[in-house]
Amino acid sequence: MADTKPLTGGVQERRGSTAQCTDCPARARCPPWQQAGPSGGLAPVRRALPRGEHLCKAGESVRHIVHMVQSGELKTYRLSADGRQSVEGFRRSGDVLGLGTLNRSQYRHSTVALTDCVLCEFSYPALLAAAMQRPAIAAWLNERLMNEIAQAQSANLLLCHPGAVQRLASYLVQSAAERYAATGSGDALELVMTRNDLGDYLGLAAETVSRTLNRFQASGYLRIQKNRLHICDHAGLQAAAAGLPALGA
Amino acid sequence: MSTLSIDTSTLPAHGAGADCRSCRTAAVCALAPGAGAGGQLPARRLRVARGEALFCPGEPVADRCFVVHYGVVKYSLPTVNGQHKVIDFAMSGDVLGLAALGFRRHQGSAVALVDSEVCEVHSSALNGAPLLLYGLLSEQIAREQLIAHGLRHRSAAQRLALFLLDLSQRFQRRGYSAHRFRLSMSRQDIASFLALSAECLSRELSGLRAAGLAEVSEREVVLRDLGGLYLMVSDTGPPCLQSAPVDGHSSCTSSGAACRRPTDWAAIT
Repeated sequence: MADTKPLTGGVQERRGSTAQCTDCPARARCPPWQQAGPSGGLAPVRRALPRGEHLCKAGESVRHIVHMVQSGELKTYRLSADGRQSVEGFRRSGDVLGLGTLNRSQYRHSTVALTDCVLCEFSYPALLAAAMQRPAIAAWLNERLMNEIAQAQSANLLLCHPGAVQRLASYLVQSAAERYAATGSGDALELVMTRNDLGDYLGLAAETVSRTLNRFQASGYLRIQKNRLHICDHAGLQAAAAGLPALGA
Repeated sequence: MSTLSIDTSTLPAHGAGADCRSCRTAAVCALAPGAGAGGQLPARRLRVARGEALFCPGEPVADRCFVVHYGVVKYSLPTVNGQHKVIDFAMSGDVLGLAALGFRRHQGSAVALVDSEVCEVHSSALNGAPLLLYGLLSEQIAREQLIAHGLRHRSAAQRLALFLLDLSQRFQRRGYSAHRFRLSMSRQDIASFLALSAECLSRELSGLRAAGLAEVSEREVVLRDLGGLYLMVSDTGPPCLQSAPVDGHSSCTSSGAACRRPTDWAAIT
């Protein structure tokens, strides 16, 4: 964990103090680690990961740690030898990182902070041990693992769309739905990733992403203000995602 | 697509159970480590005829998942425009519907591509072996991510090569030839899985034949040059047939650029 630093104070001081959890925006999606008790070894360590720093890099030995994202945004990606990037996904508050590493010895992907992030670190072995004892923790782990599979499958579904319009519209519809579930409003989306990163997630060129976003704006589906998207016409965007020929040329 | 019918007349004699101890799939069965001290997993063997669905979207999950005893089952998810995208093909020993255990109802469908048999396992059997369950889920996350990774910025030729290499490795692991095998899936299923159009797929199949790498006639596959196929998708390989960046289905265009992508699905076993 050379890349991360304890947020403030010593780790011991931070470890297991529930006071810091009460105002955590991700607490509803956090494992019920308090149930494991003080001897359970499950109390998380909270860390800051500054923007641009890596949580893990492909090829490194797996550290058997699961991270909950409290705030900020990260991307997971792979690089090919020629430096070409394939973005696996973007992670935000309430998302979990590292669940797919259980039987691995090396990381297959890299994870980097796109903004300043605060993460809570859980030991994966301690989580598994606690899950054997506590049904609530087992249920949490089951749900998150299955959710992770669903997320990877939805990326797969996005990529089956033949054109940039459908792929990007589907992504925005999906993001708006997630945003709605998290905050109660899906009208404003913060795209903290670059157009390049978004293109490398959707299998599109960065220019194609920009051009298609501008097309959406011209059609009145959304307004672009720097990295902020205001969705004005959810139905129109959904029609575009479904491949309906509503988009004016 | 009709729903599952259970032909009890030909099922193993001991109740409706399946005997893991004498099972010839045990060596590759993902759930085999979960068989208890008696070497027996509480499972029920079901027959699924070719074209029949093991489950359909909307059907109750009822805390059951399945492991393929023999045959091939395709798993697909509905897309926003009312079509289906093939997500993966399950072969003997592979688990189906594991991720659905978290849901009340199935989101996807599982349809047998050939006459198949599956073992139905209740989630309580897996909950008794939590490490196995978490390991399987973790593995599946990794495989789904690799499949999606294989579809990003990959030429049609590379996707097809990855698909054939993945099958080759999976057949080999099951004790069959890595060079010669029979496809259970239609061209349409393969095209859906690889997110290619049918025309593009058949053009790429001709391309592989012309390059002397692989011959696919009807359902019979002969991989003439495994090394060449690996080079096509490898990180450091020489220029290959076609490797234009993919922007959706349209890109079957050829370019002279080298392929520099790692072997993905093929590396998963």
